[in-house]
Amino acid sequence: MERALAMDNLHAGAVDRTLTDEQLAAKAREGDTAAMEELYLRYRQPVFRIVYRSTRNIDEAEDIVQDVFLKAFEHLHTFRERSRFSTWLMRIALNLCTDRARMRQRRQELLEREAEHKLAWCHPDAPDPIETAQRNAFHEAFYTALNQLPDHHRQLIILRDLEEMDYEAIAQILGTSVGAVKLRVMRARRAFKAKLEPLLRAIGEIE
Amino acid sequence: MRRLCRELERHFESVESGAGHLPGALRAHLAECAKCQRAWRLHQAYQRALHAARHEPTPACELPWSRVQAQLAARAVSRRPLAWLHPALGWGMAVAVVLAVGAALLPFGAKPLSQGETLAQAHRSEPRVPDTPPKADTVRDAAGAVRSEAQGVALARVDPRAPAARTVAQATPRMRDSARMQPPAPKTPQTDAYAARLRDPEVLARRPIDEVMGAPAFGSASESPFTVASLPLTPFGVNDSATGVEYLPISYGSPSSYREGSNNEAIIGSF
Repeated sequence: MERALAMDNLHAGAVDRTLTDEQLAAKAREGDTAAMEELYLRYRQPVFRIVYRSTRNIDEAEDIVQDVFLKAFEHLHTFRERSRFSTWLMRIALNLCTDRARMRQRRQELLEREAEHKLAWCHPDAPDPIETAQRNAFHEAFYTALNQLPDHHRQLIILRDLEEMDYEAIAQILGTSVGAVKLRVMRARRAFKAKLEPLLRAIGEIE
Repeated sequence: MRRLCRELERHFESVESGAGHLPGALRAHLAECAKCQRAWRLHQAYQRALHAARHEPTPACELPWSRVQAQLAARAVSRRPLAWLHPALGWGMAVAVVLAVGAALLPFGAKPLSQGETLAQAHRSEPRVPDTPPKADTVRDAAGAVRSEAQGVALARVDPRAPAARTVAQATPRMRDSARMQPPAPKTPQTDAYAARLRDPEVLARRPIDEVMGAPAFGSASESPFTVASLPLTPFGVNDSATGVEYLPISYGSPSSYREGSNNEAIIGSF
């Protein structure tokens, strides 16, 4: 991984890093691969984080990240700079996440992914195995409830409560008004709490 | 009380991070209401879960740029032939359409159809008559059947080339236009009078078939009496000596061209 990152940094040296996203997007639109690479390096991890929160699977998240950037670079001519490049990219990421989620049988794969990543949550130098187990149960309950939500609610919980984006950015990503986003976030939280409550009660987090 | 419960619930849903500060009235209500206390505990657990999830270490994305770049290049290569073919296909289709239209308009091997078209035009200028083809079998039948045969023969005389003219008119727009542009055939008083006589059913009913057959051909005074009947089974003419009627094969040419031995299929084959 480090070698890959080092190679990426080496490749990205050809472009001026002080350029804004929109300037880089304009260069990338003309076929400048160095500008594409710089955009990729800037937004690879933020996009991955959002996608990973939705999928909870590293391989699948990386596949989606690749698709996000392929789609973005292939459709750069449609980017009209009415919104920020990052917003546009996040919209693509969320759409691809939704598409991916619709294509698979969600329930069964969720269980498999949870099983796969139980070990990943265990840090090798974790101080207390009991505490780790409790934290894992907490995480498991949280993400189980999150993944039980419909797509539109889950996206809002991820964007607002986990990524802590402001309402205006979310409104731009979702293509709606700030007021509508606030209302939807409230509804999403209500639905999320309804899913979360029995799971937290089961692990003794609440009485 | 219920108003405060709803207000507190709304407060929990709108709290962004942390426990938040409850107004005094709501805090007092929370101390008394068990339902709101449960909601409060759930909200606190929710905030803890959010906090933990936010600070959960996200694995680093190890997807290298080279992989994305390779995919981009592969997609660009796979799209390139299509991008080249797309306009070529468009131009090819346009050229093909132009050639097809040109081929349909060019009169390859077509014979001049002036006489037939003239006759067709003359037929068009006459009152419309039914297109029922005459039946040769009815000649030997009773009087009513003879009448229908006489009408059929009359139709054949009026417009021996009519089927061919219609075929030509339906075949190509250019020929249809040329058929339209042809001036109507000149009528003679003789032919007009004969045509009027033929349209009278009583006259037709009274006249024996021999008289009908012996009448001069309509539209061409120089041509001898001539009958065209549908007899698709043989390409040769059939002489019925009993009735004195000569049956000809299906003919799309003029009587004169048929007699000269010309191949009428050439007209059909030119389309």
